[in-house]
Parts: sequence; C-alpha cells; structure tokens
Amino acid sequence: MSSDLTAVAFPGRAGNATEVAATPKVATRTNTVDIAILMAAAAGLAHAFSTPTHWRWWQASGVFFAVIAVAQLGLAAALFFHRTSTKVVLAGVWSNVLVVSVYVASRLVALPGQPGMTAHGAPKAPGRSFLPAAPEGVGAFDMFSLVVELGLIVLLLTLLPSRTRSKVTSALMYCGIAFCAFAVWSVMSNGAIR
Amino acid sequence: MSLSRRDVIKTGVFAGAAVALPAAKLAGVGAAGATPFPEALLPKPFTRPFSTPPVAVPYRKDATCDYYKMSMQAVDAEMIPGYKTTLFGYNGSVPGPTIQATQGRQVVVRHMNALPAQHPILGYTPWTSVHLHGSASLPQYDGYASDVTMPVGGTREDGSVCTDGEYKDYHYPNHQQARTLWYHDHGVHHTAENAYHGLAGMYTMYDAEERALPLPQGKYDVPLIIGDAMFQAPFTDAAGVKRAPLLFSLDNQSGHWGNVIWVNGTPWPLMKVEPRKYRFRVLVATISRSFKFNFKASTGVAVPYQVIATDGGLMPAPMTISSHRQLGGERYEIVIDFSKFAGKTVDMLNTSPTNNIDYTNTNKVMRFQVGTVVTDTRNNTVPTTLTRKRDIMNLTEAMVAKDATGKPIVRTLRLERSNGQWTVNGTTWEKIVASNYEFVECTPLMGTVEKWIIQNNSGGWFHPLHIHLVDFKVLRRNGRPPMAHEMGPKDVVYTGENETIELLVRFDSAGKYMVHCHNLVHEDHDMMTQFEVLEADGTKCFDDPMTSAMAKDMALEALDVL
Ligand SMILES: [Cu+2]
Repeated sequence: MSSDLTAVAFPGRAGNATEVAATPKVATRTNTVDIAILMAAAAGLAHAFSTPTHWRWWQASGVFFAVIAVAQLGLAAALFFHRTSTKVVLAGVWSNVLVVSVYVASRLVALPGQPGMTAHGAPKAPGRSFLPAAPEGVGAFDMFSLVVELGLIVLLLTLLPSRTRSKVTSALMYCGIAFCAFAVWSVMSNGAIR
Repeated sequence: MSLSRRDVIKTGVFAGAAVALPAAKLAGVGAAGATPFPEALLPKPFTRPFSTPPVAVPYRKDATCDYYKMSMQAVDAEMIPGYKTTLFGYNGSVPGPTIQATQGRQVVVRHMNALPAQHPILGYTPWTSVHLHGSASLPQYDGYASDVTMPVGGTREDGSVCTDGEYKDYHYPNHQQARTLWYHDHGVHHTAENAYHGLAGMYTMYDAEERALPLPQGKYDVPLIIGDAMFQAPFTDAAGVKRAPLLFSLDNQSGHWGNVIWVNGTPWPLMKVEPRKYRFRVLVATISRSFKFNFKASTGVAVPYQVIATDGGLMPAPMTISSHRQLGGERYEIVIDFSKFAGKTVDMLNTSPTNNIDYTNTNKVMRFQVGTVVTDTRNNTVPTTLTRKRDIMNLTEAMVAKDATGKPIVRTLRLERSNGQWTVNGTTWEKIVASNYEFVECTPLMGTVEKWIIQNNSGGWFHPLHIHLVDFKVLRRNGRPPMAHEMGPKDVVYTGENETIELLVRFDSAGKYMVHCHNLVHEDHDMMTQFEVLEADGTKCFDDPMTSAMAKDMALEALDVL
C-alpha cells in the first residue's frame, strides 16, 4: 500500500477522532488494515483456486467455496475502499469464523450430504469399490488458509470498539470450547478413525 | 488498538482449538503419507520366521490330468503378530497353495467363489476371474477380466444379484516348457483389491530338460512371493479380538504402496539356509510397487547372484549380476551361493526405483541366516549353458512377418494417461465392453512373429506391460540391448519412465487375449485392451473368452463331476 493512499484513506478508516491524533498510532492502524486486506485477499484467492476441484468432487462444496471466495475478496475490497465500520468488520469476523468452523467440522466428521469415495476416481457403479463419506484429510494448503483466516480474525478484532470486541472474543471462546466438545463427540461416535 | 490480555486469552481458546484439532489429526492418522497402524507395533525386520505357501494337493488324478478344487474365501490371517487381518485366500491360504505341474500333464482347477457378497470395508462385490499368468491357456480359461465368477448375494455390474454364487473350471494345457507361473485374480475393475487381499499364488512347471540340470532342487528350490501392505489403525472388536484391517487407498490414481514388505505373507522374514547354492523363484506380486533388489552380507560385501530363468523359463545362459529391477508380475529365478557366508547373514535389500512411495523399512525385504552345515551337496551347480531349446530367444528381426506391401509388421502400444484415464493407445477396457468384446487392437496371424514397440513417454510413472498368451524376447530398450537379467523369455516388461522397448513376439495359438498394465490400479482404471490372434488361414478362433466356458451356478457344483 502506498503512503499517499494511506494518508487519503486515513480519516475514513479511523472513524474515531481521538485515535487519529497521534502519528505512531496512525501508522499501526494503517498497517493493520493493510495486512488485513492482504490476508482477506490471500484467503479469498486460496478458496477461488480450490473451487473447481471442490465443484467436481461435490457441487455443494464448490458453491460454498465460491461464496467464501467472493465474500473474502469482497471484504478485502471493502477494507481497501475504507469501509471499516463496525458492521463491516463484524461481518468480516463472523463470516471467517463460519469458514473456520466448517473447516474444523469437515476434518472431524463427514458433512451431511458429502459424497463417498469411489476407487481411483472411477464412476460409481454397482459392485465397485466405494467408501462411505469420511472426514477430509488435513493438508499444508488448507492449514495455511486456516492460519491466514485466524490472523485475519485477530486483525479485524483490533478494529472493533473495545466493548464490542470484548463481547465478540467471549463468543469466540465459547466457539473454541464447542470445537473441543464436538471433537470429543466425533471421536467417540466414530470409534476408530479411518 | 491492541487487544487486552483478556481478549487475547479468549481469542486464543478459539484459534488454539481451530488449529490443534486438525493438527492432531495430521500428526495421528488418515493423512496422505501417514501410516495409520503405528510403525512401532509392526514386527522388526528380519525377526519373523520364513515360511513357504503349502503345496496344493490334487482332489483327484487320472492318467493325463491333475484336478484341484480351490475355494476362494475370506480368512482371518495374522500378518502382524497379535492382530487379525481379514484377507482373501485360495483355500484359505495367503499366498495361495503352490500348484506343481509337469510338462505334458494337464491341470484342471475348479475355482469356487465363496467370498463375502461385499467387501466389509471397500463395499465392492468380489467377483473373480482367475488368470494363470505365464500359461498359453485357451481364451475361455485365461481369466478374461469380464468373464467373472460371482459370490453368493453379490451385485453384478448390471445391478442384478447372484443368488447362489458361482464356480468355474479352468483347464491348463501345460504344454509349455518349465517355468515359474502364478495364478491371481483378474476380475474387472477390482483386480487390485482382490490381489491385494491375497488372491495370488505360485504355479511351478517342471520339464525333463530342466530337471536334468544340476540346479538346486527340492528344499533348495524356494518360492519368494513378494508383496507390500498397509494397515489401518488397530482396534479391538466386539469379541475382544485385536484387529488391523488392510488399508487400501482409493484416492491415489497412480497406485497403491504399502509400508510393510512381505515375503510369502510374512513381513521381512528371516530364513535359515545352508552354506551352499539356493534357487529362488522371485515373484513380485505387488499392486504397484517396483523393486531394485540387491544382496549384502553381514561382512559388508555385496553378494553377486546368477539369474537362470525369466518369466517364460530358463535363459540360454545364466547371467551374473549384483542387482536387478523387478516389478509387478515379473518372475526371475536366481541362484545365490551362500557357501562363503557360513555363520553370517545375507540381506535381500531394495533400492527403490523412481516413482515409488517409500517408507521407513521398504528398503528391506528379508534376511538369510547362513548355517555351517550342508546336508545335501547334490544339484549345487549352475551350468554355463542352460538351454538351447527356447525358440523365442532364437528369434531375429529377419523373422518378423511382412504385411501385404512387404513391410515388416510393427505394432506400437503407447502407455499413456489421457483425460484422467490410464490408456493403451487411448483405449480403455470400457471401449472393449462397449463393443461387446469385439474391439481388438490388432489381429496377428497364428504362427507368425511380430515386432511390438512399447512406449512410455512420461517421466512420471513406470508401467509393467503384460501381454497374455505369449512369451516374447526383449530386443532393445531405448535402442540399446536389454538388461542382463532380461535376456530370457518374458511376458511382462518393465516399461520405465521415458522408455521405448522393442519386443519380438510369436503367436502360437489363436483367440482374443488381453494386454494391459500390471500396475493393477492402472489395469482396473482402465489400462487394458485386447488383441486377437487369427488362425493361420485368417479365420477367427472358435473359442471365445466370454461364452465358451461360462461360470456355473454353485447349486450345481456337487452334481458336476470334477
Ligand atoms: Cu501402468
């Protein structure tokens, strides 16, 4: 991001007269938004990149990936064009929390409607090998996207007024606890993990 | 604005859970490259006692023929000590019992499909078709992929259900010369699954010429059937039995590689040998893995060995080598002289060729513990000339038949991946099925010799190319002479990355036969086509692989005298 753009962008982004006064804070604040833009864009591109393969595997997941990609790129654009109102930031936080939640769930259980696996990409046919749907594997690329999204959520949190932020972080904590409970349930109900 | 300490902690719970749960899974099980069954629970290499498969006992004999009954059935085996693994075996044995045949004496095997209606994990119907690999059997007894024998309650490809189950009698002529053959499943679309679960066994054929040679015989003539396996995470079933089911990956389209190397069904066995010569019949029965074998003594020296026979039997002369590569379907008979290693050990090792997936101990195969006493000194010699009677090895390019324009007949088989499928010249088995088994790649005439060129233009994978019915001679590999160990009659050729192989093939009987990749995952999806040898006068063979000897209803088996 160029510095003159930052200068122009400055009043709109801050949205809070008291916080804009001191120059060092402005710099920090600006960097936060810039990094958030990059992260939202990176996550959006990662999902866009993965959309075609997901579409071929399971159309519903392809649609989900496309929607996520649009939403994350939209968030990047919104931040780029200085839309940092609490509403926009909250939408950014919760949409990414939703993505993270679906990701965690998909690695613990087979999602409702998820197709099973045919042998080596062969079409499903009577008598042929077919495994029921199973939790997806964990790979480097999806872990990278996950970390980017978590980083993005943290950055977006810093843009919120402190009271709102406190409420949001409490909700996040309950989400984290829910993840753990869900994991325990999934392992107990699946028995041996395939 | 920075986060308060409290915010950091609360957010940390969320982020920590989100990262830790998938990461724990990554560290534990299920991901590509991981081995769900803990390696620490596998037997240590070279600790399990070596054994050989049982020798099959004929059900009945008459003046010209031995009759066998084989029931293909699920069996709880203990490949990993302390854990039961459900496998599929011929007469409950994995590998199957060794059938011993003599040239000139026929064999009939009644193969009865007593497998479950569905594989308990993979969900497929284990229909079968048994191929005797290395035999010039009639088309209807060659294990034609689509000529299947159904289990009770199994679902056919058309969706119908087989109520009684089926059996089929396979007739083997045994008119060929001595060789190491093997029988294995060839059922369409899940040959890989069936063979991986144990449907494979050795079939040795002897003849007078080979028996008269002073080569190691009897207990010094030993089958080494080599495979690989991967196991799922262990669990205890409702009956309190500890289980480790086989893991078969459905997602890797290149093939299936295991982290356990087994010989005759035992992981990395230890074999006690005497300090003398042994003859080993090495059969690689893997789904996808290829090997580059070598032998190393505990003294640190490399142990050279002699190759005396290839897929089609004796080589003209033994070849002394220090390593050789071998892939699925290939057989090499090798002689190792342990006389210099009394009281020492000799390890059979594997420096894996490129494009395999390797794990901690896939560089090891088995160990020989050499004793100090020789109990029998007879048949302890490898003659410098083994045979002059293998016509195939006397073939020359000048003998290649000419077409109508007077040009030598040369056929090219391109092994390639196109549109997400494995193909031979762009053809898959689907095309043969769609043509009602009429489509053929080419129609050689019986009694003629042709030059076949096998092409692999990819650097990404190797293919074991198997031509049914025939023995062939490897003429050139990438324009150069074949490797030393390939200088004998062959029926599978290692078609490595970016390799072009020239073969001389002679067609000694007529009918439709398959030609395919012996990476069984490639074969199943769907790197297989067929050729049809016409009678010398150009007419079609009367015997048809699909209709001349169909599988019969199991309800009739007791009435059908074998
Ligand atoms: Cu192949």
